[in-house]
Amino acid sequence: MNDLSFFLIDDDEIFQFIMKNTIAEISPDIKIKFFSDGEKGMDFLKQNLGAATNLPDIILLDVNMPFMDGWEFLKEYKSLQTQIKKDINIYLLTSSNNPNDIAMAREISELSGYLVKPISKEGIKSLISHFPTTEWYHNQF
Amino acid sequence: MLKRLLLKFVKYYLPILILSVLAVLWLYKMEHKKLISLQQDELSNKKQLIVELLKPMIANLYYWEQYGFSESDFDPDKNAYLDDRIRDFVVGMDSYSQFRLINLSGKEVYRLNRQDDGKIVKSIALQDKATRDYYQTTTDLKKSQIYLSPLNLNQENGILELPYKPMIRGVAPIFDALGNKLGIVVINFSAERFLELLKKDNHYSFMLLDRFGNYLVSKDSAKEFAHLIPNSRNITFYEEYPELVDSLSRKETTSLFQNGDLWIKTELDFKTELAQTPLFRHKFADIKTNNKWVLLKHLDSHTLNARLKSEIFSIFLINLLAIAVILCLSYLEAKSDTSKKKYMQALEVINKELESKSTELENKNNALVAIQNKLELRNAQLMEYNNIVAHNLRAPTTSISALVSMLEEAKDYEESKSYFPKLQKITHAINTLVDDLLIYVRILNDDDQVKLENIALEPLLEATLDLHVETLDNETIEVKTDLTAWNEIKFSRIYLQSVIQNLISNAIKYRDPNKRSVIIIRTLWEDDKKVLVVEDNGVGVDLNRYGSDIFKLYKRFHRGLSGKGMGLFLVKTQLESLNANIEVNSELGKGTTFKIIFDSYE
Repeated sequence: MNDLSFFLIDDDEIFQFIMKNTIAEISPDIKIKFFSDGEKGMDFLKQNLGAATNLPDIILLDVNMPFMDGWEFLKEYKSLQTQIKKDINIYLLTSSNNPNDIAMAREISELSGYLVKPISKEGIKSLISHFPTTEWYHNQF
Repeated sequence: MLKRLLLKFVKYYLPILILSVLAVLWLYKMEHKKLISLQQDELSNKKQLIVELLKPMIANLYYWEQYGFSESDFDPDKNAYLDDRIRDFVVGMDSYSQFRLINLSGKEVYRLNRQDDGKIVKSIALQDKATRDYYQTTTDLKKSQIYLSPLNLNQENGILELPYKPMIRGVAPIFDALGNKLGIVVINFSAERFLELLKKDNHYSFMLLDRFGNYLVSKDSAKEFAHLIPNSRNITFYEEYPELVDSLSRKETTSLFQNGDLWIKTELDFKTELAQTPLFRHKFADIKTNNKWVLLKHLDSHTLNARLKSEIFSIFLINLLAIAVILCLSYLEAKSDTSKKKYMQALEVINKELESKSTELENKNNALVAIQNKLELRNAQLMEYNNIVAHNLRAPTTSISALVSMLEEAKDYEESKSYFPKLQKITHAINTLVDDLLIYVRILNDDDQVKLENIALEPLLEATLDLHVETLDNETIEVKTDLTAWNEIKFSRIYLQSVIQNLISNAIKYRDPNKRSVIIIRTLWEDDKKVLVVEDNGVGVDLNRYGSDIFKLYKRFHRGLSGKGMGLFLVKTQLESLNANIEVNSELGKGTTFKIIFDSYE
């Protein structure tokens, strides 16, 4: 469990900082890599399609980002999925508890769950403890 | 109303009238045809009757001609022996009123009279008939030649016998065995019964005329035999009706209308008609007579019409009835037409009212639609606001709470201190967001209070371009303006300024450094609406990717070039708050065109 690898794709620097601290507190072995927008994350994935070791177990994907938002990222990811040599669980991150967004997210088979900010240490721990799972994960209802 | 009534009446009654007239004419024609045919039949029957009555006379005369009288029979002193033989015969022949033998010198030599009581009496007073026409015309009778006299009144001793005795004299010559003429036999055939038969069944005026037009039979008995009766007003038919002479004498059998009267005529020429009797046909005997009678029927117009009276009366009644019914119908129809007209007028008034109401409704509807559009817009803006608050405001606040909890758990002041710049950054972001939101909310709230004024476009553009004069000059960006379509608009000066500024600054910011940049600003009309176009040949935006987001808050599409993502959001909000619209057309690497459509702006 401790050698899990995370990608956080979010333009919010503060959130990046918070996540970095939170994860480091849970376990220094957990790797986390940051991308400030969807496009950057996608570019990395494309360059490492075959390199399973460079790919994460979990992607935390923010909805609201410049250049390429979370939805758009998911669209592109879907077209890439067959070429990706690793099972990646993607969780959508959002600061809104908007029911429309949740409903939309549930329609997307590439998604494993939906996380509403803020995400506490316990939240991350709970997520990690549920991993790997085929069940839909949602930290708040 | 009266005129309409009359017109309708004429329209309906005219065909009936025409039909009635035709029916009457047809009735007349058929009736006349029938009448003529019937009368001609009757005349023909009467003619036949005359012929049939004449035949026994001829047979009798022939009998006596062949009787074989001897010379002594013509001697009054010696012929007494005839009495037994002839009287018995004559008794049975009730048409004989006289039987006489007259010698060659015209003297009667034997004479039997039938008295009024029917008894046969031998007359002793023998008369000299040498001067009488019937004697004179028969002196030259040859053997087997028989003579029939005209229809006469009997005379005795040159004086008309009273009461008048109409009769026909039949004469036959008598020859002895050697062929010497002895004299003549004269038989007076009484015509009383004969005339009686002709007058029988005579509904209409029947006339029998002799060849000269003298009346032998007439409805007016005074005219009968007037030519024979002294001191009577002797007028012939031809004198009485000279206008008919020509037409009637043209044919043997004919009919004609004269002054509404119907005349039917047939002729009876004794010689011609009797020629068919066997006696004459086989040349046993010959006839001498110049009797040529005319059988006439006269139906006066009154009689004619009387026959049709009932039919014409019924047609007249039908017409009366039709007139009454049609008058009623016409009245009703004219009335209904009038009320229909009134009804239509009323309907028209109602229609107009309805129309105006409908227009009113439409206007209200339009107003409602406008309100609804506005509400929808407002709703969308509120959603947008909601979104902004949900995403953009919630994010920093959640970050703050996360940082705060991290602060609480900080091991030392150094660690705590490292969080402050982050907190500062967040508070700054929140401040900016709140400021931006305030601008947004002010626009949303202000829309009714915004001052509209007539704005000349050209100075506004110039002022805006002046703000960027350095960039424009340094980078040699060409700005083309074409305001020929329109150059003035009633709008909010602040908003229009902001819109134009944003668009121009975007066009400059996102210019393509590898190209000679051109910005075109022009006005035009589209669907009667004022349209302002700002076009550049800059880097463009992939609208397939970002189409729905281009006017959203804090959306950025150009790495490195991006502003904070407020400009187009404001532009759209400001325009929409004043019923204007903005559309975008863009292609990566080719440029972007913004089109502002002013809905119903002067």
